[in-house]
Amino acid sequence: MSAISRRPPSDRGLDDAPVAAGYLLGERLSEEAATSIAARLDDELRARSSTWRRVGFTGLIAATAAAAAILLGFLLARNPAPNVPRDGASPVARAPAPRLEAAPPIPPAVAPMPPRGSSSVPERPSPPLATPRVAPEKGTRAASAEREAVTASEKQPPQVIARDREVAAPLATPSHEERIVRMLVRRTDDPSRASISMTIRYWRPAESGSKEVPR
Amino acid sequence: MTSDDELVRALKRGDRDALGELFERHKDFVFRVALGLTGRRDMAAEIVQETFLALLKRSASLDPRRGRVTTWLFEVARRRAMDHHRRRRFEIVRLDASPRPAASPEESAIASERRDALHRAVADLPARPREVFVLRIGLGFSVDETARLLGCGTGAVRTALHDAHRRLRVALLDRPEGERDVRDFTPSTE
Repeated sequence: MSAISRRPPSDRGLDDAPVAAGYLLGERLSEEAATSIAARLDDELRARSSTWRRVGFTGLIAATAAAAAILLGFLLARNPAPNVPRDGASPVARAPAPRLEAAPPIPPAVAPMPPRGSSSVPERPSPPLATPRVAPEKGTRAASAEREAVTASEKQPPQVIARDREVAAPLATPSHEERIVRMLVRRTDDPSRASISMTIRYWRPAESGSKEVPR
Repeated sequence: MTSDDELVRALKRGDRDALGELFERHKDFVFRVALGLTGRRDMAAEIVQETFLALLKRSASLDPRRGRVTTWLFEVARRRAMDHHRRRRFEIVRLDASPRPAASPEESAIASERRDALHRAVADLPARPREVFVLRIGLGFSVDETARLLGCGTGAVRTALHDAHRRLRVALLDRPEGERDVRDFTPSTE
């Protein structure tokens, strides 16, 4: 007897299915395939756990490095000029040792100014800004002490204690050359707060061979 | 007995035994879905592996409150089966023989051939009738359960089932005279 129903499709129910209901329920994953898949899953689990261990260790190192970098950045932001001591220590001790050498005497004359707007002459770098200080109230003992200190510093010229190594900066035009010298100057009246860094530029005509003079 | 939800939570914590237990419980269900949709045992076994690997990889994002793990497994297996079906639709391969014992080698060969012919015919159905047929007829889900698993209405399930019946009759009858009884294609469920 044929199992094909001749009734209209709308009358057919589940019993009229061309195959018996649940024909897939007898199917099973073979033992061989199940064992193979289980082994594959176990390998994957093991690999993932070891990967997480590696990631965890690397992440710990990265987090430590990031925290150290943030801390270092914070400290540098608080003290941007390394040669300006905050605690009264000698500026020479704080400056990088290889960059310092004995300061030559400052040349007395002033070099001729290069033409303004010339592209061959770089702009003068702005000096480092001094830390703003809160002025004491008038009439107080602190105000008078500061006035005395300022007067003393004006009387005594700054003392050059060290100079950076020369920083070569050849110009584009052949007529001039430039040297930039960074100097450390300490005010003798208050060494702790008056150490400054300044930049002086020298020019001279290249063809004349004359002695360089500071601007 | 530990529930599936508890096993999923344990798997999210990295419990290796939880995955093994979930695999033991649901490997045959996933295999049947994949076999019904693809018609090939080797492909179905491959889909079982891919499905449980996906379960392992996505275990962190599984939320038992959003649905049962069997629904999730079915959905993954269904998508994989569709991908495999599209990729290997025109391959001509000899299907594996079932390990089920038969009375004689000759009967076994005939039963295996009929079973394979049935799986091939189902696998050649369009996507929606095939899914409905596999769930409703092959796995015995109710119309409501089939509709819930496929995310459609019960009317759509009935329509697709009717379409599957019609196509299968045509496919299975379009064979040599000796194989015209389509119920002979039904594998034994013992």
